[in-house]
Amino acid sequence: MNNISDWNSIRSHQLFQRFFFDEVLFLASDPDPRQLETSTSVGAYAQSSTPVDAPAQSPSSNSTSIFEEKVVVLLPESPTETQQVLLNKITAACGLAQDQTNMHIGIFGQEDIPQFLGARLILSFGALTNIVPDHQVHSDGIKYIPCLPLGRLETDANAKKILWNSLKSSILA
Amino acid sequence: MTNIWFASHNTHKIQELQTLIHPLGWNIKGIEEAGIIDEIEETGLTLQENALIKAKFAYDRLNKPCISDDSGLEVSALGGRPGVHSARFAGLPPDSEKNIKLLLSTMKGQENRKAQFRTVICMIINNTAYYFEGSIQGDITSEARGVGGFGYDSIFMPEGHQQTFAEMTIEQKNNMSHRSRAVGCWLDFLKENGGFLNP
Repeated sequence: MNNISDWNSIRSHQLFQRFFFDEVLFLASDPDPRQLETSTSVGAYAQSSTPVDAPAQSPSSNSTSIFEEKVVVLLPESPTETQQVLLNKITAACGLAQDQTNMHIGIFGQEDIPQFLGARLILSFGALTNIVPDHQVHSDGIKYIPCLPLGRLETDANAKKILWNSLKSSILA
Repeated sequence: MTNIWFASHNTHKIQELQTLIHPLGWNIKGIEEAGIIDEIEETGLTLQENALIKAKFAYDRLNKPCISDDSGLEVSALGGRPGVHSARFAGLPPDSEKNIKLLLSTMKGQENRKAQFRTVICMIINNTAYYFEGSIQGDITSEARGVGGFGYDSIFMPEGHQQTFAEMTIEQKNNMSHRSRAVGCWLDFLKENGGFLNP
């Protein structure tokens, strides 16, 4: 299983150039399917071949590691069609293919994070204010990025910038 | 008719859900019918986690819509314990009588008797997990009362009532229970989104 340092090391400078390029497209109001296709083809986040039902490997918990290498997206409720397009663009712009992503819909608190042991990244869309805390790295190596709600991101360009900066800084960190 | 596979070996639960879901055009089937007889290890740290572990266990094997649930009693004065460990609070194998005795002795002299029962249902369809939650607030009594129900029912008195769950009829309890509330949320979701979810 790739750890976070491996994960960071495989990001190339080229990928970050893409981020800035994508940012322009991302902030555009009309979704561009070509951009989505290009982004999902990025293979920087290669999936581990470890089966998802492999035995627990977390050193800090006896909980089962059930999301080896997956990216987990947390949403308070099902996205609308346009929100789904936006979500696809966000994950694609991060170089994530849809089959690498597990979506979880419900109300989640910080105490719920252990259930996503083994995930490499959690994007949680549900913060209620403008003050979005920095990303956190849990003891299990999971990167947790709090994001503003998709409904807000749909209409608020400033909220998109906040999210984008958060994604950039957390991936650069 | 679409099947939803229930990650449980409890036939009573399966039948109960089948009765509720059948009118919506869905079928509940226990995973044993698909040849899965393994006991699923509930190693989660939260109710949500346990529900997810069980649903994912089934989903990974069947790749079809799967559902599971997990419930627990959360006592305020004990910081939410026994919670996810409710069934095995006094150790293994699970023993309700021992659990109740241990909880009452732990709570002896404690003025804050507030507690809640909580159920989390997890449903996985098309690689997406949906969670539904139901809870009911109440108090832990100072002694066990009533013979109905199971688990901690005899020491849990729902807010606004003078009877414990164990002193109520099954219908009374089911009208307000954490489990029925979670199931209600799940059914509401299926009514609204069932078409979309049909694989």
